[in-house]
Amino acid sequence: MQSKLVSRRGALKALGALALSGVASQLLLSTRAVAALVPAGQGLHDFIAVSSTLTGKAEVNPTLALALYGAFLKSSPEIDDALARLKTTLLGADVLAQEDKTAFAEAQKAEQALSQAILQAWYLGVVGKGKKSVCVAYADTLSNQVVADVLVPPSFSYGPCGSWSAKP
Amino acid sequence: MTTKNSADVCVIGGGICGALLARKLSLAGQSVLMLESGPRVGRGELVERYRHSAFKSDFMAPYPFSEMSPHPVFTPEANKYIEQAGPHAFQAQYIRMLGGTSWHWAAQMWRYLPSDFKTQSLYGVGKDWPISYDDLEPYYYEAEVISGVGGSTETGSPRSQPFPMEPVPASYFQQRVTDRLAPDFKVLDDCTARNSRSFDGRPACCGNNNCMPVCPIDAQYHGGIAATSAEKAGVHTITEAVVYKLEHDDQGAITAVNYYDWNKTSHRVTAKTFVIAANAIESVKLLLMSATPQFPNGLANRSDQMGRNLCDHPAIGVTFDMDEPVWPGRGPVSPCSIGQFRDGDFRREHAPFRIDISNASQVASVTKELIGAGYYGVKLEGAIRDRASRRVSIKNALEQLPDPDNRVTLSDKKDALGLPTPRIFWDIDDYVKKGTVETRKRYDEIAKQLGATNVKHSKEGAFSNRQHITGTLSMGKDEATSVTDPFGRAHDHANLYMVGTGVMPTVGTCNVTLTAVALALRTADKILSEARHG
Repeated sequence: MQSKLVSRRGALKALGALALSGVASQLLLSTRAVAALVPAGQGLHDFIAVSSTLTGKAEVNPTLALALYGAFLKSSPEIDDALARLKTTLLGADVLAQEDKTAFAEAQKAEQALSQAILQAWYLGVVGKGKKSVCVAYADTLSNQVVADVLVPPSFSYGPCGSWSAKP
Repeated sequence: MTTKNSADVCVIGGGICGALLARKLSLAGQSVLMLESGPRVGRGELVERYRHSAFKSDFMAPYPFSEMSPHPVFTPEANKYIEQAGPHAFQAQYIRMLGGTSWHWAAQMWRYLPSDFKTQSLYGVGKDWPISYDDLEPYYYEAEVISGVGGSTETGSPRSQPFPMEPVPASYFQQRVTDRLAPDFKVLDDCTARNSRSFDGRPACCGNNNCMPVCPIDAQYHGGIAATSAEKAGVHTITEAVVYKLEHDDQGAITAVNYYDWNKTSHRVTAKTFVIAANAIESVKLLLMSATPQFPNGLANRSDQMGRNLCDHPAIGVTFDMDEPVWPGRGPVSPCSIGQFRDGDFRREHAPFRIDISNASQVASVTKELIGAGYYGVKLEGAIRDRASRRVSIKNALEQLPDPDNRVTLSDKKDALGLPTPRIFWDIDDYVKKGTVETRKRYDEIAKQLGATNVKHSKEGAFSNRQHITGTLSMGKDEATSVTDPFGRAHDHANLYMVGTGVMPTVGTCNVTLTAVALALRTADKILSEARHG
């Protein structure tokens, strides 16, 4: 339970950072789509909260959170309700009982799918499926960051020719 | 002189083979006009498209699609450009764009084995080529010098001169796999046109690990570089020029080609000599579309061999987690392979094969796998690191024998310009299936030797394409059983030549581009010789 409290605290912190961040403010002003998110405060709040819980990070990148949430909202206008349900579900005792894998009940398929979609967004930078897929981030995705001490995201230079011969 | 409608030589198709042939002819004083159906797109735009793509594992995704010059598309949904008529889908990936399909490759530039040219004589299977390894050797070297090839000297393909490029140094991953598999399996450097030093105005490889779908720094050679070099040599290029018909005179000599620009305005181009270099599938399509009362089955098709004998390397794969962290993803994506099953008397019984070991980053694929399995939080990150550091991915390049029933024809569908799309019948015979069983055995031995867990073979009975498309324009001495002569000239049309992988009668066990380029350079010499001596 301690980790969930930390997560919620982290989410609030992230929201604070979001409000204060000059970069985020510029982003808010720069596109109408993102500006449209401003009234949807609870949805963004929930998105950051569940993102924090699912990624295990007390703080998530607020600029990226805003961009990912915007992409979810665009592909699924009812996302706020789904996020609220997922947040409630994650607060339940069972889903995160195991440290490594989520354990959604049979009746929680929609919440399970959304949790994986959110993880996919953070870790692979892609929101949506099929024709609706959008690449929101690449180099800053969490999967690239988690290996950043060893690998570069494909298409970025690793180093001088042969520097990969050494043991990582 | 070249005008936009006339030249000594008209080349149809601006890929690596057409461009390097055009360049050679132009440097020798011929006026050359090269018509490319697709657009001109720069490397920077392609890299940007890759980085913004939601489908990064699809090598076609960065390449712009146009309905005016369509090619197969697989994501987000397959466009079904090719009509599949056989029991196995032939999932061709080719790019209609200036530079062609070698934009998305790993710059593999392999010589065939001498035995690959005479499998019928040696092993009683397949076809003998009308030329030998020795006939092609000088042209192999010419192509290697142009593109800057380096690699192992132990592949079994003799060399009259050393490689022009030193191989790119092996990654730690390659070193560990090589050490762990020796002596049972000998892992060799692949032969690649990849710079290990600055060469021809392009930098050394910096390990971007993105050879497929596009090298962001041009450290590897590709058809776009070939096309630029052709233009620098004086070749006049017209892009977005979709050739749809060839004309001939009463003697069967080709007199003109007709192309649509993307506004569907038709243009007519005349030349003394014509070269079709438009991909092993699209070239067939064009010649079949050009049927006339004199040639009712299409041009160059009196033998009824046009489009038949379609081959690729029908591939199976395996992935597993090695028992130590080796971190694939540092350096080029396709650096090494195992070649000891490429030749031997067993070729009488089953397909030979090369085993290719990938060094592509596994981060995205293991992440997707772990999220799908329900991982989350700190444990997810640990698992990504663990699996990405140990995941090994292997596939094979296995020889399929030419079978006249495997063929390209025209479908009943039409594209946006009203031109027919290709139909393909492709089947897999027992020779391939037996070779596949042998491959799988070797995969298991390799996995065991690397202490593997989580071993996953590709689906039993399914084969993926390696995009080494050969056979459809086969060269041969016998006019009844081939489309082109030993120089790639159409048996039925004295001033019509064909270049590209389609003229290769068999597919061997290695990547086919170097052989196709060598043949194209040899065809260029033939055209020059004819121009000089008539």
